Amino acid sequence: MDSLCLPQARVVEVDARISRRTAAFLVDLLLVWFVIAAPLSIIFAPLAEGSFSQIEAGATALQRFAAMLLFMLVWLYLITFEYLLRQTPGMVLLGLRVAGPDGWWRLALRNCFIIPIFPIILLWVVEPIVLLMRGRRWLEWISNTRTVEEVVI
Amino acid sequence: MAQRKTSNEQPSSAWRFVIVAIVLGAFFFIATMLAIIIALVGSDLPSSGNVAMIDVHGVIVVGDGFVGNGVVTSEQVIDELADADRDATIKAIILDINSPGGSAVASDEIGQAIARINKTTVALIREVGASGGYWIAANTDHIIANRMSITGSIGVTSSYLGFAGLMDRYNVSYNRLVSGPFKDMGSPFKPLTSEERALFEQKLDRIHAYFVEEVANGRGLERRAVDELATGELLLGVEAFDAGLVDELGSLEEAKAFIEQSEGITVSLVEYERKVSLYQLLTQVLSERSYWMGAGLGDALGTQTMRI
Repeated sequence: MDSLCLPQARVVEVDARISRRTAAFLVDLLLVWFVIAAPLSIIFAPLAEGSFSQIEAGATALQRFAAMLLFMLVWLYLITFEYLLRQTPGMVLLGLRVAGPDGWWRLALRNCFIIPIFPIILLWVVEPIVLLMRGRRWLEWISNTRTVEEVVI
Repeated sequence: MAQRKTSNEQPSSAWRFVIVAIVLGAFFFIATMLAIIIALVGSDLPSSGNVAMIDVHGVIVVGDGFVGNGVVTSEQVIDELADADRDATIKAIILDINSPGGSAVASDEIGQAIARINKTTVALIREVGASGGYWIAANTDHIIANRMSITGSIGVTSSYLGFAGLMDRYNVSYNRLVSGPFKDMGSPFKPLTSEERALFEQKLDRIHAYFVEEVANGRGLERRAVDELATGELLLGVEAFDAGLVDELGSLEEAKAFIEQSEGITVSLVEYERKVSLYQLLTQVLSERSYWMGAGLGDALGTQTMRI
């Protein structure tokens, strides 16, 4: 019998669904907690204790530095994985990857929202809104990258 | 949704997991090393201040709980005083007082703790430093107040509401079951007898005498002179200054200047405050409401505490 000559199934990449992106991000946050935040938490331990102690300007500055270091390491975590694998561990689990031209600076740019410095910190509000409205983050648009998932059509 | 063909080659699944494991391990190692280095550097940092600033803000109560804003516990202040006293880099202590008073016991506990300290102590009365707030201030070496601060109020109160008349009106009876004649003294559900009133006043007089004694000893005044001032009257800072209850009119600058002159140092303030965990922070809201609800009910039911 002659075949019907139907088009063969093929795999294409589409913009990742927001639910999957959120889940991947939460997985990454969990990993970051165990791998980066947990060791660094010993610096913040005095803040978490119920005891009395003085806030010294030096110690406070040190804790601020440690907090900034924490965010820088999280930034580096995202850049490193996306540079090596084009996906973070969370993305691996959820079947997502980063698409776009090569270049570590693009990856640094697309993930720089993590740095809690004004005015970048405003992106913590702007990025989710833009993502919900346009399906792509503003920094992804600037860095010419996309977070995609594979679908069979 | 935008569609594109697959691009950017990826390593195999096995390699991906190997890379993930290696990179995660590397990050854990880096974070641990950085934490250790920062902790070591931090422990070598010199103290940045030489004068401790301790807040006594709110109603003074006994208790070690985290009772929230508007209340300060004696344990909290005593622990901060002990911390400052132990710290060799701290040369003097400023008590930033903004309190209308509170529990006589709590005020006395703080006063005793101040008296035990071998460092220069200064009380800085801002808005209010009255009654128990003044009891605490009287134990310091030097009192500074704003000319419009409210201070003084040397006296004791134990007033409460009585519901006996109201209960009679609504035919509610009070079934008195006591093993001693004064066991339910101060119950809001029965009228205060003359003997009970005399007993209460005797105890109030005794606490009043302690208060006067503390002020006289702390301020180096004649007991008779303090007795004349101990009418419970609120005094403005300027009036307290004229009466000898305050050493100086001024603000934090005057407090710093006094310490610089007496200790021969350049003052660098270190704020002492209670560190709270996230859990304590979250429970603060609940406990704060519970405290005020309890305090309100306690007042309404006439819970007997000696307040100054």
